[in-house]
Amino acid sequence: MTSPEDDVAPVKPAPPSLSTVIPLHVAKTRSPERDESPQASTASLPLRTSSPPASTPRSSIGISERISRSVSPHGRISMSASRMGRSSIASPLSSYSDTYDDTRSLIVRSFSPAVAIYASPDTDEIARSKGFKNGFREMVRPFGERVTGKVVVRDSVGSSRAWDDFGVRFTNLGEDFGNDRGSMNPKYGSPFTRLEELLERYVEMPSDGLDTYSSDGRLMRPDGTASQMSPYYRLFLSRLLSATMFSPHETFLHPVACVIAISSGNEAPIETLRQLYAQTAQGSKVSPSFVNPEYLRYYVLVHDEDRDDLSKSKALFEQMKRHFGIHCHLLRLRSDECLPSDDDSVEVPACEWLSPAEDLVRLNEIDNLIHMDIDLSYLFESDVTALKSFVRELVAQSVIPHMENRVAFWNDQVASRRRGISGRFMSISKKWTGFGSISSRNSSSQSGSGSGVSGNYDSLQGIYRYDTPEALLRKLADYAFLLRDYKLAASTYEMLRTDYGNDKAWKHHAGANEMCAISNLLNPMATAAKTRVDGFDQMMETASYSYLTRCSDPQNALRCVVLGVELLKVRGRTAAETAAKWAIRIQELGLVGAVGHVLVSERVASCFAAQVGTSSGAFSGRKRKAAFWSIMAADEWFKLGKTELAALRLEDADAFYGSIVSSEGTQHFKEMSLFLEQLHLAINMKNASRSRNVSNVSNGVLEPEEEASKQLTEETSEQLSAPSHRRSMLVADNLPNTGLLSPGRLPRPDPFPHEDDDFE
Amino acid sequence: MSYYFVIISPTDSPLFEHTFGTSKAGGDGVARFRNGETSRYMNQFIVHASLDVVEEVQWLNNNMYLKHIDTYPPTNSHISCFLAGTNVRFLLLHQPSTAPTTSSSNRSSTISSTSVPHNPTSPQTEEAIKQFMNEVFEIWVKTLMSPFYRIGMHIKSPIFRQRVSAAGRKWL
Repeated sequence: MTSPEDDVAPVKPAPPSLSTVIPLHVAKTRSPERDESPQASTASLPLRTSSPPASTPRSSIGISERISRSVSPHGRISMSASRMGRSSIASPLSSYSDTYDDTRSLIVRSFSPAVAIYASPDTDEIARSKGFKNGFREMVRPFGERVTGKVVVRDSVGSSRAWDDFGVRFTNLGEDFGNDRGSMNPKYGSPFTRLEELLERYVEMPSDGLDTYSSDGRLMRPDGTASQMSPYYRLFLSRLLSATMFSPHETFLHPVACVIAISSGNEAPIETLRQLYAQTAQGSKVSPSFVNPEYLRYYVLVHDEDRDDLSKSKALFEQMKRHFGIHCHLLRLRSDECLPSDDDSVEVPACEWLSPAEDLVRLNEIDNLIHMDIDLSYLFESDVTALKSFVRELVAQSVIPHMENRVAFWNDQVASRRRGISGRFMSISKKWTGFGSISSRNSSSQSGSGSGVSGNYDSLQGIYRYDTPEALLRKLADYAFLLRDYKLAASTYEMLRTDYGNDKAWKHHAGANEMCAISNLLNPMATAAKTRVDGFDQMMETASYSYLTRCSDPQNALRCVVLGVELLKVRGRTAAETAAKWAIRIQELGLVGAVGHVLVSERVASCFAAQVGTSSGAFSGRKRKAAFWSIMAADEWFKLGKTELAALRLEDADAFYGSIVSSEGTQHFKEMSLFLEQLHLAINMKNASRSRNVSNVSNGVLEPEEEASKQLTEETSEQLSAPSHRRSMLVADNLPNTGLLSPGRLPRPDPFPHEDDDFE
Repeated sequence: MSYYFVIISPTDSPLFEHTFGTSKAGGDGVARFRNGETSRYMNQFIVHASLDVVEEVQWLNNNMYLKHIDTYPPTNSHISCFLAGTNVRFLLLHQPSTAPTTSSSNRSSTISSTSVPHNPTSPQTEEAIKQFMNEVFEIWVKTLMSPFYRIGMHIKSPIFRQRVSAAGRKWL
């Protein structure tokens, strides 16, 4: 089951085990103005895409829903969520497929085609006057993350599939061209460190901050199932996936299309368009040599409803159409700033895929403006409708056909030749030199072809030129991946793996290995047919080794391993075992910081927990291991001061230990149970004192959570053995009444120093 | 190399625990776990968690000595298992010392790279642990024959402990 808001399940031929029925519960807390579906505008579009009206409002509210809905106070969450933790263990099968769809959807959506925006200054001016200080791109960006309605994509064999969670990533054209080559970039690695910084920020925030931000009640579902993915981990995953840098070795961020926008206020519109185009072709915005410059150009005329004459704009638009063909759009916007108090104001959805750096900036802004309420921007409803239909038309009618077209072309021209000759590189590169146009490349490729090395690789800069077969194949594979044709993508990456390896293009090699593993894992058809876990293991090994050791690129290594873990986790026993192994490897390689470390520990626990469901009755699965890692996570959360989360993990662990038949649990291991008790006690104490502080602030009203935790504390302390017994009893008694101790202090320091755990 | 040896009853309670260090290659027989003081409970956690694997492997293997069954990478701990009668399990956690090359001199490092103290998965180690397990099994059986011992009881005999540590000195 998918959660109601953001993963409207993609229509996919899911493997039988995962194809649970998706109940179409439309979120109920929707505010009425968001109900307005842009059907009116999309209905007028040519019917390339069948967009059933029912799906439109649902998906259109997805993003804003996630941000705006908040959850009940955190104390309550921890109580009820822990109960859910147990229920999820009781029926692990249902819960893991649930989270799998969630994770999978997150991963799939994170790879979306990049559409560059190149707007004329007057267009940016309109956006600025509407309150988007960073211009046109900032205004359209949230709308690109989820295209309204279903988007139909044809794969290489000609079968169509409709996706209703398709999105594009709007970037500023040329923004990334400057810092292109990852290894030579002085700012190298910074998104990686910022990710950790960001996580720390979120963890330090009061917990309601996160709840409103992204958890969206993930710990607590209306239907009572629990997601095992903690909100923090979800955040970690989505930020990690959007932290990707512009790099020669993969083309996901290379523009698929470029939106060239002018406004109706422009005096010489056609001339400006030509200039802008010229800039993209040979001017300041020309792409580096490894970026394929044959991306689609899409021309947009932004009509200013408040100031300019519509008939004039229409005439201009007609002219544009004559000049530039069908890839044009007339976007009618009002240039006045929309205030929240206006009748038809609509909150602009927040961006889901912020890179860590952007998110940090956003958080800083929120901190600075804590007292003013200008955090969210608003747009007129008519503008929102116009933007949505613009994005839809752009994606459904131009971007996707363009990509399909390129995929078919390259598949035909490049890939099938390669496949046919199967590995005999020499003849291939000869064929290709006839095809290409650069003579210097010709000579080099011929000279290198004898030794099985294509010679197309520029090892100094670490790039392939965009028109070499290797680069085109990679582009083909990436396009296929973006269009979610994982079979074609996987087979192409497979081909590239060896090529890059022969050329010693290590970063490309790592990238191809990574994506090969991931697209194989994402391919729903391959689930039953070939679960060659060894193969994935090998590919991940190569990819992470190449990324980390040869290219010292920890960020990509982390992405590779995290994706592998997430996708492997649900593929049965051995795969989950491998996933756990890799998750532990993340910690070993030191790819994550303190917070990331905890999140990964939680993930290891859930990898083992996933095996509980898949194991047959004879084996107990990996309950002890799951419990053990939960305890480790609890301990680490506790050290970070997040006692609520620590308490949750402990509850999990207890549930796991409790569910092992034929075992007396941990009580006879003396030090172990002592440690557990102390952890329990410390966490409960902290929670109790915290909720007491809260209730003191709120006029001394005793809340049920406090009662509960107080009781819990007393119970725990009674069970304690001799030395700690008296003191903790004393504290537990004193705490609610007089508060002799400072509330933050622990009743009894842990006898074992935690700092020298030395997990690395 | 540091060792933590534990005998676990069928109901997962420890009957006997013993912590010792290597006596080979100039070791003094004192355990030095890399996670320091926390190892006291961490080792128990690790061993307890590996029972999951024991329960799986015991059905796939006809031998009593199940060899190296599990690792815990964060502390580089390796676990070997020996199944005794009535589903009593002997588990040995072994952890190579932190920096094998720096601690040993040039003279010994060439020899000891494949010997017991440094490579936990080498055949030599497996063989040594097997010998150790067999010897402990023998002692254990003899202890069980004591008229004052009932099955499932904690083993408190100092003689047993002495003999186990002697076996440890001899083989590990």
